[in-house]
Amino acid sequence: MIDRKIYSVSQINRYIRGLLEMDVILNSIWVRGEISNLKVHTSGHIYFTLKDSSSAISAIMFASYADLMPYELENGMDVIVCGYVSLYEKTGKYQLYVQIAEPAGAGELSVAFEQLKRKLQEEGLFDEDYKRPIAKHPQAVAVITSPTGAAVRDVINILKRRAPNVKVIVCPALVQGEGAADSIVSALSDINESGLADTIILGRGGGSMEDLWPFNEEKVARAIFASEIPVISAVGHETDFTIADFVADLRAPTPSAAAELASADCMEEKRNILNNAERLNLSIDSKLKYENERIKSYFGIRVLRRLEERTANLEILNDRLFIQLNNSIDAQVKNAFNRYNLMSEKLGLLSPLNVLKRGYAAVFDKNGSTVMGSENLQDRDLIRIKFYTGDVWAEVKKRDYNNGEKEENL
Amino acid sequence: MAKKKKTYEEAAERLEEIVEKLENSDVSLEESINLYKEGMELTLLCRQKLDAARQEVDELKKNFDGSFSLKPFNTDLEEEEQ
Repeated sequence: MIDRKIYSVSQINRYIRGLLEMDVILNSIWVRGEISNLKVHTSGHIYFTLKDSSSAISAIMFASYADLMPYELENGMDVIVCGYVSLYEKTGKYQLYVQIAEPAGAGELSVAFEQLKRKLQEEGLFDEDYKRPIAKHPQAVAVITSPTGAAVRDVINILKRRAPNVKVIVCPALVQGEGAADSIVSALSDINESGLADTIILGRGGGSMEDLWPFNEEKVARAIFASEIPVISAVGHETDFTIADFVADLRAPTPSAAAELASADCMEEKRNILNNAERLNLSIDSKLKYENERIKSYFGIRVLRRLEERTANLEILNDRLFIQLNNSIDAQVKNAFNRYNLMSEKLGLLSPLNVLKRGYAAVFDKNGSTVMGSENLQDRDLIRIKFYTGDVWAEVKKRDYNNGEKEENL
Repeated sequence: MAKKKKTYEEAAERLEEIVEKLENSDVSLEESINLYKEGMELTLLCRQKLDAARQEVDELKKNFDGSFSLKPFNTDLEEEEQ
């Protein structure tokens, strides 16, 4: 009997695996083919078949490699992959272990761009319904960009000239390279949390597709979508389109243009305000005119005119009357007062007691009547002479006459 | 009117509203006169705000406690660094 060497299945598979892995060509090989039967395991490993028109090979891409890819593999995709061929001992199947997978034809970034664009579009992130209006007269505009780049200066300069009343809030962020996407996301969430701005300008100056890449990343797109403050994207030059542009509430071709879209021109505003003031004047004028006409037509122009004349006349008359009245009242009061003074003076003078007080005396006849003069008395008439302090009785002995002037002095 | 300090935007919008209201003939004369007065006051306020404006540029800073503050952003310095 010939000695038989019997191997186990495992041994055979391990041996074949060794053969394959030792092969110089197979252990690092580039293969082009179309992807089919693509399955992404929960572990992140990707299983697919790579085929051409007449043949197929199983392929696997481990999660650790898959994670490094900017885009996602899809069925039907024409790819060039790099990897090695080995055997999966458990099933005895050989397969291609893919480490790198590049889209054939287009660059992987543009494939990633198209993929993300399509995905977000399907989710509705670009829908017009979600676009919020940009404030016409913002109090504060936030600028998320590099604090040392050209974009921030452009925005500040434009706003300074155009709308100095608008406050600018710079939110520094990395805008290219590693960590840029995270930096942009946190700036977006910070300014939203602070609530200090009415509008956000998110952007940077021009650069290569790689430079602008953070603005094509999914997390940035989602952060823009989540922003409660309206976002104007302003990435690169006019010809550059990024995912951020599609999600943003408004796309500006450049940062300078974004500053213009985010503000109202101060000069234009002044003209506007003036124009509004003019419109106010015009409409109040026409209102008043209209009211006037209405009243006129209500009364009839003639009646009104007569009424106006009358009113005018009445007013003049009234004024005159009033003055006269005032004057006459004044005069009357004055007269009354004067008369009163005079009277009281006279009364004072005429009061017989006052006269007597000063040393004069009054003479009464036997009947008690006042004797006004010597002509009223006869010789030997009995008279009573009244002094201030008391009376005396006397008999007339002799009479003579004076002229009446002395009496007036009394 | 004049109960609270209006922002420019509020004032400009209110002015626009008043002009439109006043141009609409449905308003009574008395209301028209009140609107006119308010409108003229707003015109003045807006002009003052536009004329008095001086640009302010700040930088957003997040504090350790999670609150935010604004610090003046030195634009000249940045230009020198370029």
